[in-house]
Amino acid sequence: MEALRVSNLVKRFEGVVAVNNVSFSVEKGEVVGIIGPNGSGKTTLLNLISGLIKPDEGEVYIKGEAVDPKPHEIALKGVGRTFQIPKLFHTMTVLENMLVPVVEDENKRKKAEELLKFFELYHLKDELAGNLSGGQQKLLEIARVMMLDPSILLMDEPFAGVHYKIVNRIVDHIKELRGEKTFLIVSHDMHTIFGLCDRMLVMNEGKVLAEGTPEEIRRSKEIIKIYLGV
Amino acid sequence: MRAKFVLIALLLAAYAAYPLISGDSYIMRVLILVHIFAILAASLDLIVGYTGQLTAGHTAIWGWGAYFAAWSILYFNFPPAASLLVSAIVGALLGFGIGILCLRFKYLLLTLVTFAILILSYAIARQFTSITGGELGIHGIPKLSDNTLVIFYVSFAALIATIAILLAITKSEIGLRMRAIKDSEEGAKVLGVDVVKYKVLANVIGSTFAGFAGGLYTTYMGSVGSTNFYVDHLLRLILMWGIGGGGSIIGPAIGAYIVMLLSEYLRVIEEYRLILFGAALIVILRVFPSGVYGIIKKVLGGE
Repeated sequence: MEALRVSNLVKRFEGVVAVNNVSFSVEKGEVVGIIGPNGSGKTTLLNLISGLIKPDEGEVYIKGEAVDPKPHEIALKGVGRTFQIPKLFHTMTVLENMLVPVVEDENKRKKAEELLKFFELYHLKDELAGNLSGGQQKLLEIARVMMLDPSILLMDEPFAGVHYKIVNRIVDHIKELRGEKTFLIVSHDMHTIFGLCDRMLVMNEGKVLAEGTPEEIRRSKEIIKIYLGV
Repeated sequence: MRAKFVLIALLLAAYAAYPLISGDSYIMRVLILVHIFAILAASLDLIVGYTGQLTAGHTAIWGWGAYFAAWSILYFNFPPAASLLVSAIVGALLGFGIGILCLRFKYLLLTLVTFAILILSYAIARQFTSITGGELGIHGIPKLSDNTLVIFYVSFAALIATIAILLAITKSEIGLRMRAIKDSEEGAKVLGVDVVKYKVLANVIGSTFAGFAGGLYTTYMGSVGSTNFYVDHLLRLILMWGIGGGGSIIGPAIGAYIVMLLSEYLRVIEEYRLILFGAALIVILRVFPSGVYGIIKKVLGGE
């Protein structure tokens, strides 16, 4: 069953085509990685899917339905998003951060506390989010978006600048949830992303150059050329 | 916690009893103005301190609230008490308009645009003297009461109610989401928060109280003029917000007491007062960014 589809997406920034006619789809429960050099349009693509920026052309379909590019409505349709630099509410406590997501749940606080325990952040619940370490901030952002119980998760560089123990914890969480939730993960961490994903997309200069299993991508001469220039 | 609650209740009771005991009408008149500006400062905090919209147009809304109260009394024979409702509604409508306008701007641009609204308001009020009275203003507007003591208690009750309502909002999920928007708009958006709705809502609620404070001013002073749009009022409001401690609702109200009472009792040093306040604001923001309220909270230990 199709969870997410983007069709002919185009985004230009003052003449620079950041995303150039990109189309692909992701099946429910799949873990899909997006790799590519800096400036290849990966983050812009996530911003387009999550509605933070509007496409110049093309459509985004969530569970087969075309969506308006309004981020809060897209979030409520079950699309969660994390950022390369976590967008936490720094002057609020860890628990307060968990209570911001718009969720109709009588036991919202209990759910927040359970998630904090799951992500091993419960002991920091009264700490200001701004005081957490970089790795803890990444974990909190993932825990926080889980409050929405998203069916699709868009993760931008979840492993960047994070201690390997926390990387392992994030990877374990993704593996636990695979099959149940759909993941689209942008990463430069080749070792982790190749070991984690069912399928990969390779972007360069705003276009999807290649698509395939990690093994197929690893063997692709075109990809080697992009990364190594040989 | 209970001891603190009792202490606050006792302090409020002592404050309320003071005019009855002292019978000092001078201090009562000063405190009425303090109440009005404390309402204005606390309501500004919802917009600036909670959603991070650095508006400079709050005193413009206050000014128009004051004018509409006057017009509703003079031209439509509204009782002064009912005119307060008119000024609150005018405030809400202006807040809605400014809130929508503010969506297009951020940071300093937002401040400049809203400051332009204040300047425009002054220009309009000065120009159309037949209905505004211009610089000389409109006088002889029936007051809420001729008894200063009554206005003291009405304005004090209005201040307590304003703070209670604003605190209830800020302690609710609405307040939590407003604070989230101030910290990171994008972070809030991807969590399902309708940023547009909450920003406009903060403007509407804050401006409702600003308009109301304007009405209270007119029905206490018995006059209104284009001087209500003087930049001095905005500067004083900024001082109240900063010295008292923004982002707490109570802080800016405390700031109103500090700025207004010191202004009154330091009349002997005249315009040097502004220098003193400016220096105090810099020192407080540098040493205690959460203002006098932050210091009080620290001393008392917690909320």
